[in-house]
Amino acid sequence: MTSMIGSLVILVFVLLLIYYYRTTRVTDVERNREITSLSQVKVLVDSAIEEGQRIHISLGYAKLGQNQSAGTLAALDALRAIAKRSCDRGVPPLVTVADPVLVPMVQDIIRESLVRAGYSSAYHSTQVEFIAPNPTQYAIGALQRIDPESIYATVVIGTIDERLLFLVQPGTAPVSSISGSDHPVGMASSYAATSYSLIGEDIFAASAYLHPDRLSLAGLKTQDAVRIGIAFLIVVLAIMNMIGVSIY
Amino acid sequence: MNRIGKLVPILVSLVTAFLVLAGYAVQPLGIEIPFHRTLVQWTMVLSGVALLIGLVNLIQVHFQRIINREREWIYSLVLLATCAIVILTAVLEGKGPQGNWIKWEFNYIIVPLEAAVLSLLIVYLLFSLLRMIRKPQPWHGYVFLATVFIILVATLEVSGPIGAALDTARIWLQGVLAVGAVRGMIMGIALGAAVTGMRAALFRHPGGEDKA
Repeated sequence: MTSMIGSLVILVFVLLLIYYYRTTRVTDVERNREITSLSQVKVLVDSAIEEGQRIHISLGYAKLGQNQSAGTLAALDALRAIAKRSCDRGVPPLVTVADPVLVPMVQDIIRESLVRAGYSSAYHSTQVEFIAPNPTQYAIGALQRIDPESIYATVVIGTIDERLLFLVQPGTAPVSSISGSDHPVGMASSYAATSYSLIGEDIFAASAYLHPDRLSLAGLKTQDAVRIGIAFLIVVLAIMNMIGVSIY
Repeated sequence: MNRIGKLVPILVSLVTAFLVLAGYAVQPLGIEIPFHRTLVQWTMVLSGVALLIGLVNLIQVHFQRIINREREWIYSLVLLATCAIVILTAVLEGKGPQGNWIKWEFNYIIVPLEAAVLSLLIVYLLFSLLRMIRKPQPWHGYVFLATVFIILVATLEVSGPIGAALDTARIWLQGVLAVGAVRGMIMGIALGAAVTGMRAALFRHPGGEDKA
């Protein structure tokens, strides 16, 4: 029964996604509420290029194929948008990962962004670094790669808990940072440690804001539609419960 | 040719995503989707291969840093030497991660170092708090600070009516407000995760171009 309900929910998601993909325009992004942290990512990337420095992007420590894959997929989407903006001016970002599966994927994203921008010679496979599969070792290893002489800012997007603090180094960091996590402890750490943080589902909206395309915007609209549906359902169930009607 | 080269991986990922999704959906009904289990097993094998790719990347990155005499290149040298020692130990002992030497390296070097590093988190947390106190905050920043203050003071077990009031506030904050907020955030994250997963599986390569 549960799996059938699950399949039904997936079907609803897919149908909504197709519907919104067909009806959404790229200009619809202007109607979205402003997420200051995501606007700040664009500012950081542009400032880094002006300074002739690079952006360090951390994709968190979650691994593809596990429970928290979606956070990493959202981070990959955001990375694609940041890499495009950065590579358009021939300055690829430095990306650190904790999952070796991500190494060829991220290499592909950076290579493609550079080739499209006409800077194929600027690509090098070491622009992506596999640090360590262990969360603590990853955070410490990635921290070592933040060289203030060559790195302008750090952007952390993905699944990461309190170890995020190692990467953003509150109060002592030599570079600016923006962080977002889908982990509750990571969110609180990010809020306390950085001036610009992505809270809750913000990381899943990153690609739609940073490099809007129809599919990303359709994804946002699908989330909103389902959210309204769930909220309505919660209110209806609560009222039914109050008046003594139980469907359990 | 280039078009076929792009189409093949898209088709492979689409079919795989569909088979795996359908496999999980019909499993409780006793229906077995062909290749479902095999595809899931292949994920494990591919993860193993990916670890080798990761190792090659690690060696490549640090070797380059040593050659170019980059800042703190000496750490890269230590890392590569350590990597070689651990691999050599495992090969010589012939028991993989279950070997005594490997266990010793893990228990007496890696674990204590990791624990020491993790203890630094409290310092970073303190810095975060000080940073928030020093800088002007939006209203929600002050709510955050007030909550931290109440929880911290309440855990000190202050006696008398003030202690009781603080304890009630702590229980209410943790049990009602925090739980409600976390549930709301988790619902948002779950929706985001579902849509992102579906987009990646059925409409787009992760981080790549649209299939639609």
